[in-house]
Amino acid sequence: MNTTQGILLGSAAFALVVGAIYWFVSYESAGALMLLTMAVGLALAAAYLALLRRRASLAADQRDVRPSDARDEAVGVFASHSVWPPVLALGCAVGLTGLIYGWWLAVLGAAGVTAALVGLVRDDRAARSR
Amino acid sequence: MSTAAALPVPGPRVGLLGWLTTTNHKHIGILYMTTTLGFFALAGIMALLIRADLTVPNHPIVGRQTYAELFTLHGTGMIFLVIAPFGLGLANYILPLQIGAPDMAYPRLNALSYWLFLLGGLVVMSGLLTRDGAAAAGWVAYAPLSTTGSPGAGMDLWIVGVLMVSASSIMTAINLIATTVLYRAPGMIMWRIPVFCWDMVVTSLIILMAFPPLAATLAMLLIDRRLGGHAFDPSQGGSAVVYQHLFWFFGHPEVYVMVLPYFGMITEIIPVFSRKPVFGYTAFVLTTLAIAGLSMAVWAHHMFTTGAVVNPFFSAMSLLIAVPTGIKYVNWIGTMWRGAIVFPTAMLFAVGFLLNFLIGGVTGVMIASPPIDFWAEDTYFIVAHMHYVLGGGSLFALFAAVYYWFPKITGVMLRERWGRLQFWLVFVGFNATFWPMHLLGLWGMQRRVVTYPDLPGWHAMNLIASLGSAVLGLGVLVFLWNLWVSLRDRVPAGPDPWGGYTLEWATTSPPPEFNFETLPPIHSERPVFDLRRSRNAP
Repeated sequence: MNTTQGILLGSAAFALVVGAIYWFVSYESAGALMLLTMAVGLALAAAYLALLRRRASLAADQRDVRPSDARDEAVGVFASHSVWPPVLALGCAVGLTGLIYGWWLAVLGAAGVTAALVGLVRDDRAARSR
Repeated sequence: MSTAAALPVPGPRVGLLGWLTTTNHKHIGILYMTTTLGFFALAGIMALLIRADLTVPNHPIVGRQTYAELFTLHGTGMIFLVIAPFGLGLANYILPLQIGAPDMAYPRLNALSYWLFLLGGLVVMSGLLTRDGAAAAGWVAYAPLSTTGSPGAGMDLWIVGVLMVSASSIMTAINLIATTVLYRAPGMIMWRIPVFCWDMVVTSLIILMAFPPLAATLAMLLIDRRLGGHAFDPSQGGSAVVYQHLFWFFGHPEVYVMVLPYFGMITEIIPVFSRKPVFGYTAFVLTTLAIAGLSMAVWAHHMFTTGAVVNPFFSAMSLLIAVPTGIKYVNWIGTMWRGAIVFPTAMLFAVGFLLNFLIGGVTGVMIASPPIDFWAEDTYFIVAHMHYVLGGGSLFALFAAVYYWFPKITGVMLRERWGRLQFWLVFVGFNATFWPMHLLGLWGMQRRVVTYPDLPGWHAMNLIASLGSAVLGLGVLVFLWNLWVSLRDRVPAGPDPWGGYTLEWATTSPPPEFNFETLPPIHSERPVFDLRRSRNAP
C-alpha cells in the first residue's frame, strides 16, 4: 500500500469510527449518514488506486529514481488551448439561470452545453491522433 | 540534471483569444488570482460601506434591505470568491512547478473550473442589478429566510452562482489530486513533495468530502423555491434544522479549505527567510491530515444554540482540533528558532499571520465551549473571531504569498518600500477594525444589525473599528499601487531572487510553457536547497 492509499484508507477508517460514535451519542441520521458516505467514498477511491497500481507503477513512487532515468520520455499530452471550456461554462450559467427567468433560457443553455461537450470530445480525439 | 518532455497541443499563444481559450495551468492560475483580486475589491468596498453605516449610533446611512444585501454579498464574496479560490488559483500556478510537472493533469477541466468560477461569481453579484435586489439571507442562507423569506430573483441568482462555484471547486480538487498523484517528477515520492502541495492535496480531499453536500443543499433549496419542493419547509414535513446540518457539514470544513492552503504558503515562506529547512516536516503533514479529519466532525458547533444537537460531542471534537493546530505553531516557531531571519515584506506578512491567527485560534477555543458560545452567539464576538481567522490569518498569508511568488509569476520584483508601508497599514488597520468587535460582542452588540443604540462604549468602539477599516482600505490601495508601479517600472527578478528551496526556483521567471528544460535530482522536499548545498560543498 502506498502513501496515497494509506491516507485514503486511514481517513475512511476515521470517518467510520467517528460516524459510529456520533450515531450512538446522538441517533441523528443526517450527520451519521454523511460521515458514513464519506467513509465509503474514501474507501472506494483507495480501492481504485489499488487497482491502478496493479496495472502500472510510477517512477515518482520510487525513492531512488533520478529524473535522468526518464530522459526524453514523454510525460503526457497537454492541450494548450481550447475554446470549449468557456463555452461549456457559459452554457451552464445560461441554462441554470433559465430555471429563474424562463425555460427558453434553459434550452439555450442546454444547446451550448451540448455543443461544448461535442467539441471537447472532438478536441480530445484530434489531440490523441496527433 | 535531466529532461522529461511533454507533448504540447498547439494553439493561439497571445492576445484576448489566447487568454479566453488557454488551458495552460500558469495562465489559468493568473486568471484565478486576478479575478479574485477583482472580487476582493468589490467585497472590500461593501465592507467599507458596512463600517461607514455603523460609525454613528442610531444613524444608519443605508436601509435595512440594502444593509442585509451588503453583508450577504460581502461574506459570500470573501468566502466563495476570494479566500478559497485564491488558494486554488495559486496552487494552479505553483503546484505543478513544485512537483516538476509540465501542467495540470486535466488542462481543459482546469479551464472549465476557472470559467465556472468566474461566471458563478458574476451570477451571484448580478443580483444587485435585479428589481428586488441581491440575496439578503446572509452567506449561510438559512431556510426559511432563504426560501419564503426571500422571494426576489437575487436569492435564486445567489443559489445558482454558488452552485457553479462549488462545482468549479470540486473539479479543481480532482485536478490537483490527480496531478500530485500522477505527475510528480521521478524520485519525488509523496513524502518529498513540498508542504504547500501537501496542504493543497489535503484541502482538495476536504473539498471532495464537503462540497457535494453543499451542491445538494443548494439544489434542494432551488427546488424548494422554484419547483414546489418542501425539503426545508417544516409545515410540509421538511426540516429547517436539516438545512443547517447539511450546510455546516460543508461550512466548517470550508473554513479549513480557506486556511490550510495559507498554512502551506507561509510554511514555504518562513523556512526560506529563516535560512533553515522546515522544522518537523512529517509532523506538519500529519497534523494537516488530523485537522482535515477533525474538520469533518465538528460541523454542529455552529448549531449549539439550536438545542437540536449533541453539544458535548461537538464541543470535544472542536477542542481537539486545537491540538494539531498548536503543533503547527511549534513547527513555525521551531523553524524560525536560531535561524538567520530576514524580514522582506513576504516574511512580515507571514509573521503577521502567526500573530493574528493565534488570536482567532484562541477565541475559537473559547467558543468551542457551549456555555461561552451561548453568550457569544450572533454577537460581534463571532464577527471578530472569524475575521481574525480568515482576515488576520488567510488574508495576511495571501499577501505574503503574493510578495513571495510575484517575482516567479511575472519575472519582476514588487517594491519593498511600498510593501512595508502596506504591511503596517494593513496590520494596524486590521487590528483597529476587528479587536474592538471582541468587546462589542461581549457587551452584547448583535451582528447583522443596520444600527445600534448609544450604549456606554458602543459608539467609541464602533468609531475605532470604522477608522481602522479606512486605514485597512488605504493599505489595500497601497498594494494596488505597488502592483502598478512594479509592473510599469520593471526590476527583473531572475530565476531565484529569495534563495528558494523548492523546484519552482529551478526554472526561469516566468517559467517556459511546459515549465522545465531540466530537473535537478530529488532527494528531499527541498531539491533546490539540496542542489545549492551540494554545489557549495568543498
